[in-house]
Amino acid sequence: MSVRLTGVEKCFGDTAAVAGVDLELAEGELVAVLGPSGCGKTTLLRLIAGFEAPDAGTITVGGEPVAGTGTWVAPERRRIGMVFQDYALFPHLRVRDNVAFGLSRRASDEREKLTRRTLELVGLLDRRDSYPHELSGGERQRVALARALAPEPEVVLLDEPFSSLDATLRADLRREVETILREAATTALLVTHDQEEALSLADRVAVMRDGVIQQDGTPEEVYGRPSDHWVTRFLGDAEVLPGTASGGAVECELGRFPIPAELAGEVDVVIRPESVALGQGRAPRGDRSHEGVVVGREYYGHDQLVVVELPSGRRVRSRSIGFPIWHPGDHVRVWVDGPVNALRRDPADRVAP
Amino acid sequence: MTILVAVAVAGPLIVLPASFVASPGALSDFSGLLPNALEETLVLLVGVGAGTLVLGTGLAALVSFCDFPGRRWIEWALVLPLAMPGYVFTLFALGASDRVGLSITTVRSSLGAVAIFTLVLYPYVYLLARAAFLSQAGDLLEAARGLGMSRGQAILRIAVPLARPAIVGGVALALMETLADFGTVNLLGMQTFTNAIYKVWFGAFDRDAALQLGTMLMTITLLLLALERFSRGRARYGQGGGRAAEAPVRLRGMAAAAAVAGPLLLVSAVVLAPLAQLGVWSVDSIRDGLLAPEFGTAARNSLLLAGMSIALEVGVALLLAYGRRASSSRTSAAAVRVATIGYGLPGSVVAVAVIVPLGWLDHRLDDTAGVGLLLTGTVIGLFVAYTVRFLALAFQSVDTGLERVPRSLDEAARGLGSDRLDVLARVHVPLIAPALLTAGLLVFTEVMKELPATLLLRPLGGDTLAIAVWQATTESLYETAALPALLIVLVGLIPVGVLIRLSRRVAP
Repeated sequence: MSVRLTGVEKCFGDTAAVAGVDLELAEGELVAVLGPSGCGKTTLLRLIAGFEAPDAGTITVGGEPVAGTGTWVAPERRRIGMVFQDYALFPHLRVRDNVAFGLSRRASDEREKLTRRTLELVGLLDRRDSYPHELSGGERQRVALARALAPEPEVVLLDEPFSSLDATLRADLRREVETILREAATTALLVTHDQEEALSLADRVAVMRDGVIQQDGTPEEVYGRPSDHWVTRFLGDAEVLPGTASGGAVECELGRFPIPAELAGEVDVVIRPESVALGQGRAPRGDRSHEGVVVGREYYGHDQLVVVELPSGRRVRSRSIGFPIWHPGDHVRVWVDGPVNALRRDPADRVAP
Repeated sequence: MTILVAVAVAGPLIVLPASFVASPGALSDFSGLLPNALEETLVLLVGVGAGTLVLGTGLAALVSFCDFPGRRWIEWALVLPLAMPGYVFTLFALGASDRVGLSITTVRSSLGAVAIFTLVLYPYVYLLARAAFLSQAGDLLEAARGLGMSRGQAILRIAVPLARPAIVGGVALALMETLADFGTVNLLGMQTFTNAIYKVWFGAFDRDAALQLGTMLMTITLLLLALERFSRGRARYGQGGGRAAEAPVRLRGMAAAAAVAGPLLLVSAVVLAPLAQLGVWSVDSIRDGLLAPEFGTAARNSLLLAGMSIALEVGVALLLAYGRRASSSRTSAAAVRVATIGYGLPGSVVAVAVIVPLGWLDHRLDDTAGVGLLLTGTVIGLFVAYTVRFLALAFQSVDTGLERVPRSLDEAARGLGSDRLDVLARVHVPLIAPALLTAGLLVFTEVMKELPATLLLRPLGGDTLAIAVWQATTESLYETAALPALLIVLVGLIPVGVLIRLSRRVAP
C-alpha cells in the first residue's frame, strides 16, 4: 500500500476541514478526490504532504508512519512529489535546475541521468535551458510534473492541476498527464472539483463533502450507482422518481428495473438523463415505453436536453445527440435505456419534484 | 522568534516612560528648558508643516497636471533633496550665507530653520502627493470639468481633497524628521527637545531628566506616527484606480518658463549649489591642509559602522520577516509592529533609551567577569541603537520581497527534500536578492548620516563623518566640514537614484 489514511481529522478553529477520513492508495493507482470547493480535499492533500499536521488519525506513506500517534515526519523526508495548482516553479531556475532541485543529495552523474530521463518522459528535453516564464501554461505544468517525478517519490500529489489552464488545453493536457503518470508507473492522488476530470482520469474516485468521503469507487460506480442523493447530483444531472422496491427490483412510472436486493419499500429511483430515450411512432419498445409530450428543449450542439411531460404530469429530461429535432407539443414515446439506481428515500435529501 | 526579536529591539524603549516612575522630580532642575523647548518645537512643527504642505503639494500638482519641456527630468530632480541631510544643508547655508547677502543671524533664526527644513523635507509630501494624483481616476476630474469647473478649480476641489490622506501622511513624515533632527537645530541654536536632551545629557549628565525629555518627544512623535498611519489607512479607500488622468495641460510661454525655472532653481539651491560649494571647500581644505587630522579615522569608522550595520540589520530583518512567514498569527504581526516602532523615534531618544539597560547589563557583566564596560563603552551600544532605529527600513524591504514569493514555492521545495535552511538558501535568498540589496543600501546610507544617536553613544575615538561635519560646523570651520559632508551626500544620492530608477520603470 502506497498511502494509507486512517481516521484522519483536521480542524481550523471551529471548522472541521477533514472529519475522519479513511483512504488507501494501492501502488501504481491513480485516485481522484472529487469535491466542491471547501470540502477539505486540498487540506487532505496537504496533510499527506506534511504541510499540515492532523489533529487525529494516522497517515502512512510507503508503509512508514509519517503522522499521527506521536510520529511526525517533516515534509522533506516523506518521499512525496507535489504538483501545485499554480505549479510553484522556481522562477530563478532553468527548467533543468527546477527538475533537478529535489536531486541535490544524489551523485552528480545520477542527478544528470534522472533529470534527463524525466525531461524526456514529459517531452521537454529541448526546453531544458528555458526559464519558467518563457514556457506556455501546458509546458509549465509538465515541468512541475517532471520536478515532482524526478526524485522517484512514493506518491505524486496533484492539487487541481488543470484549473489554471483554459478549457481547450485542458482535455489535451489531461491525456498527456495521464500518459506520463502511467508510464512512470507512479502512484498518484489528484484533487479536483471537476467531475469530468476525475471520471476520465482516475482508476478510483473518492467523492468528498464537508470533510468526509461520501463514496469511494470506480468512476463507473460513483456515477452509475451513487451512494446518496448528494453524490448523485454532484456527479451530474439526474431524474428522481418515486418508486417501490421489492425482491431486487424497483417499480416506477417509467417501468420495472433490477436493483441491489437490500432495498425494499418506498425508494427514490434515480435515472441519468442520457438513460432516458425518446422515439416516435407506435411504441418502439413495446410495453416498455411510455407516452409523453415534449415541453421544452435546450440545444447544445453535441447534444440536446429535451424535457418531456409524462401522463402523470411529472417532467423528465432526456439527453441525446442533437438529432432528431424535437419541438414542444410533439407526442413521443419515452423509455429507459441504461443503468437505473435506487436510493433509500430521505425526505431531507429529496430533490424537489 | 518574532516576539523575541521584538522584545530585544523595542524592549529598551520601556525605560523612557519608566523614568517618570523611577525619579519623578528629575526634570525640575531643568524646568527652564521645558517651555522653551515646547515653544520652539511647536514653531518648527507649524512652520515646516505649512511649508512642506504648500511646496510639496504645489510641485506635485505642477508635474502631475501640467506638461512643460523637460517635465520627465524635473519630475525626478525634485526628489534629489532627499539625499541632503539637514545639517549638511545648514553647513552650506551658514558658510555661504554672506554670498547671497544673508546675515548669519537671519539663518540662525526660527525662520531660517523652518526654511531649511522645508527645503530638505518637502520631497516626502511631493512623492506621496504625486503618487496619489497619478493614481486618481481621470474620469472624476473630467466629471468636474463637465459640471462647469475650470481645470484649476477641478484640481483644487477634487484632486487635492482626494489626495488628502497622502498629503497628510507626507507632512507627518516630514514633521517626524523635523522632530528627530538634532544637527540642524543644534547648529542653528534652536532650543528644541533634541537639543535639550543633548544639553541635559552632556552638560548635566542627568540621565533621568534626559529620559523624561525623551519620553515627551516620543509622545509627540507617536502622535504624528498615529496621524500618518491613520491617513494611510484612509488612502486605501480613496484611490479610484481606473484609467489615468486626462492628458496634462501643455504650458506655453512664460508659464512654461516658470514651470521649468522654479523647480530647477529649487533643486539648484538645495542640491547643486551645496554640492558645488562643498566641492570647492573640499579642494580648498585639502590644498590648505585644513582637513581634520581625524578625517581618515572618521571615514573608516563611518564605513565600518555602516557596513556592519547592513549585515546586522538585514539579518535581524530577515529573521523577523521569516518568523512572520512561518506563522502569520496576530501575535507575530503585533510583534513586528513593536519591533519596527523605533524608526519613527528620534535618534537621541533611542540613544538615551538603550543606554539604560545596556549600562545595567554592563555593570553586571563587569562585576561577574571583570571585562570592563563592554557594551556602553564600545560600538556595541551604537549597533543596538542603530538596530532599534533603522530595523524598520530593512524589514520593510525584506518583508515586501519575501511576501512576493508565493508560499507554494516554499512547500514545493520542502516536498522536494529541502529543510527550512535549504529553502532559505536555494529559493528565498536568490529570489529576494534585490530586496536584500535595497535593505542594505538604505541601512548603509542612514547609518552614514546618522548624527544624534552616534553623538551620544560613540565610544572614545569613535567619531564618524557625520560627527566630523557637525563638530567642524559648530566651530565655523566650513572648509574642514566640507569633505566629510560631501561624502555623506554622495552616498545618500545612491538610494535616491535607485528609488528614481525603480519608480521610472513602473511609471509608463
